[in-house]
Amino acid sequence: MDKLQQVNKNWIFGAATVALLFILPFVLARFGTTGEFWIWVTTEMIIMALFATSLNLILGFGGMVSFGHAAFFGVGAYTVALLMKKAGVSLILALIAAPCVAGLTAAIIGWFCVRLIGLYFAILTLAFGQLLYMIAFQWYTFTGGDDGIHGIPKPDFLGPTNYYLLCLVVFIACFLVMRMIVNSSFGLSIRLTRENLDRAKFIGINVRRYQLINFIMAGFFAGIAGGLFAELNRFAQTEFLHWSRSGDAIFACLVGGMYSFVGPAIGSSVLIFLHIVLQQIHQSLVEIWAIILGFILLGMVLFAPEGLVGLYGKITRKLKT
Amino acid sequence: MKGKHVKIFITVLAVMFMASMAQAGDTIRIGWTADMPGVGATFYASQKKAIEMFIEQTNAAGGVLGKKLELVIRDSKLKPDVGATMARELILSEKCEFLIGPTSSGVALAVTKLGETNYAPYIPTLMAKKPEVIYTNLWGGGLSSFIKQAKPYGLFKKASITSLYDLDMLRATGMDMPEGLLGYSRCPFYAVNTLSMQVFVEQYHKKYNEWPSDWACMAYDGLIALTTAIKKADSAKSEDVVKVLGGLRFLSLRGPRYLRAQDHMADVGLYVGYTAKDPKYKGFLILKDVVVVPAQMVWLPVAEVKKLQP
Amino acid sequence: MGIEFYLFLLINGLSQGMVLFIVASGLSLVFGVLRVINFAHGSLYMIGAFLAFSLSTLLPAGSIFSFLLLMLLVPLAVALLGLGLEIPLFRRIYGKEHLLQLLLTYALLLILDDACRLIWGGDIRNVARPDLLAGSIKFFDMFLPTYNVFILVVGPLIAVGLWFLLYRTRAGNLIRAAVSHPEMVGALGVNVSRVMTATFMLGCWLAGLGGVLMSALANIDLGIGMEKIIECFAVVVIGGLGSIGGALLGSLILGVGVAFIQLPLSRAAIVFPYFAMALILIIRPWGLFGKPER
Repeated sequence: MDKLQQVNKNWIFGAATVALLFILPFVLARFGTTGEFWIWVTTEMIIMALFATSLNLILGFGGMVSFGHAAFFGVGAYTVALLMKKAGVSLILALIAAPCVAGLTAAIIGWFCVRLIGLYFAILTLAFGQLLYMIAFQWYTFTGGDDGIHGIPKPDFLGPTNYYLLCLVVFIACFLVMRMIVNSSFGLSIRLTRENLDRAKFIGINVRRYQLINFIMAGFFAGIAGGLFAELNRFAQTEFLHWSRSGDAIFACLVGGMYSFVGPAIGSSVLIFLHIVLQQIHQSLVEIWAIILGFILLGMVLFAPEGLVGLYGKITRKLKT
Repeated sequence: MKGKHVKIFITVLAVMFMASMAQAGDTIRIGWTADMPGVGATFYASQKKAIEMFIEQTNAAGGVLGKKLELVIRDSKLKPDVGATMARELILSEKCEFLIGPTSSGVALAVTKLGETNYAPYIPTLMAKKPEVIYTNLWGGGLSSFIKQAKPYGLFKKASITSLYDLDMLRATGMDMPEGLLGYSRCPFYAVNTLSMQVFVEQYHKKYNEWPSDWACMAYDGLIALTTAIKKADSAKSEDVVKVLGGLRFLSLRGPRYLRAQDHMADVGLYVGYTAKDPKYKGFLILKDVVVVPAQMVWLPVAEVKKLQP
Repeated sequence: MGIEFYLFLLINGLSQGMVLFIVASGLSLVFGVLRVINFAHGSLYMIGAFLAFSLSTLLPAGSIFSFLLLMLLVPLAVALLGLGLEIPLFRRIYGKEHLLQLLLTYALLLILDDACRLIWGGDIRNVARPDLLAGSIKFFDMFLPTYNVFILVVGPLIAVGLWFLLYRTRAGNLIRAAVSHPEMVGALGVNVSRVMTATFMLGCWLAGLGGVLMSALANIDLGIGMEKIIECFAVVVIGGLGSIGGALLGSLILGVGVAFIQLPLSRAAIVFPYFAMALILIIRPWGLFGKPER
């Protein structure tokens, strides 16, 4: 009974959050240019939340640390940029193509990577990610090299508010699909491979195959996030593929809580928000952002490895008793 | 658990109110998206010094149109998308009328993001080609590294190298810089004889105990152009100022200059000279026998610029 | 081109590989004993390079003794910094999940790199080579920098020294035993955590030494830490994590590989470490000298 109540409560919270998120841009729009800026920021938060949630499919649920996840984000971004700028494809078609190309890339890279475990997996994903980064960097005629591809066309109807809504709808759809995956029997098997690899093998799970499928799906959703992000900024750039962007997403998962489904989304929103607010509070904080971030992470790793969500759970449990 | 979301967005609203309350009408806010980490840090440090000095001096003299200048800095982290977000913040949220920077062009990224400060593996191959003159798009730290490493390989016994020799690069190379190399510079303070440059250099040296790099002088010149435009437009609104930019004449540290009407490019030329030691500057070489190449000879024709712009 | 040119390339590549070996062997050693891959190892190397710069401005320029003093003091300072990091931070994460270890050291990388920016600023620095090593040696009709030859001497000395320490001393026996049978070593009454601290400090010492040597080989800036840690990853992956001999082989493969691959393919040189790393992980994931884990 308690369990059922909890589930109901989650759905109510979720619905309320979604409703608020839909109203938000209209409220923000009343605050002039400052409000417009925050619409941009929240749009970025939504996209990055999608990226972090996709990473968490392999990180939190699969127990595999990937430093190459940005590769799929970047491939998605470049797919949208190239299709829209060079082939004149519409935004919707480009946004459909982005995750497919990213998923295909993930299939190729993943096929090699899932043979390895632990550190070796992490380093191989790093190597592949950086290889793609270097290729994008050097292949001027196709990717624009380090200049990237600028001036992705923007459909007329897509003002900041409309683009926010588009991203929100895509995010919610992806979020629900990923949630379904995690809660399916496939998701349970993946979690088992994290908890106990040998046992998973013993009961007949084809571990490599499951991990590969999981890896491809994570890449697929990262591709959507990358595509949305390219259109938001109207450019795609080699930085999108760089391993430090994978690192950012890993941080988001850690800060939010990688053992909960909503954790990464919360973590990435909090980090983006914190970055901007700290800059606004005082300029000197701009210069030591990396140090602040570093100490937050140190604290999280040492004292709250379950992230904000875990911390929140601990506090509410304490309050109840 | 999802309640967390709600709390976050309530805080967002609170911060927005604070931001809108802080609006004040008697300052001109200048936004700067700087490249602070890694390689951008060199430009950041020297530009920041010059910009802060300019603002201090201008405000001490009563500001521009009676308004004080105020600098708002954001870190682009050398990532273009972060830079774009920060620029949006500066314009929309911080209400900056003017943006300066970023400095780093694709070249800066190309040289440095790949993490190349070590050229030794490439030097033998280069020498095998027996070049007489090496043209390179290396500059700054990359060029300095290259020269230092190539010197003991005897490369400069047979070949000369030509590129951008800005002060930061000359300082970084120090006495390892070979003498008599032909190079160019954008704004070498030691080769400009205007009175305003002399005053600037003296003040800068007194304040910071170092010589102003090319980037410092250029940032200072940029602000001279901007404040001249604000005065001419008699308004601190960017849309009014933009109208007077085309053909604007201003007195830069390098003498009178103007902005080209079509694309607002400044007619700042190049300074070409040969590297040489100078007893006045300890620890680094400067360019001697400097010839000024006027901008009209080196800048892209308007038609070419139009072609490059998307 | 004659054979002497290729010989010249080889020597040049080997001297590049030697600096890499000194840094990477520290990373590999720490991993072997502590089972932690230290993302911040490159930052420690960078701190060593910057410390060498700061100290060199206080010492008489051009003297070989100043430089030897740098090589003596700076690595010790970095090792002490390592002590300051190991006790409050690393000790808490031994034996924990790889993920937490990676994140902790990555957080440390962010902090140390930014601290370097606050302390030393973004200027491009370097340490002047001592007069004795500043010139070049004639090699057929080419010139080989004396400093490269110096590194070619120091590198193998360090390798031999490490080998001696690990295989011919009691401390080395303890370290090696702690790698394979930590519980047994503890049961024998040895203070395992002290062995671990000492190993970590030795790793930091190597990073610092690499920093000093590099500060006179090339220019140093705030990007060199990040650059080196990736190269070190490539080295230890190629050689096998935790193996010192592997680190030596991996460093030399990378150094020589980069020197030769750019002859036909100048653009490939920059991708080479990643390519080599990926290739080895695919065909022999435990590296050339490592042992399979599962």
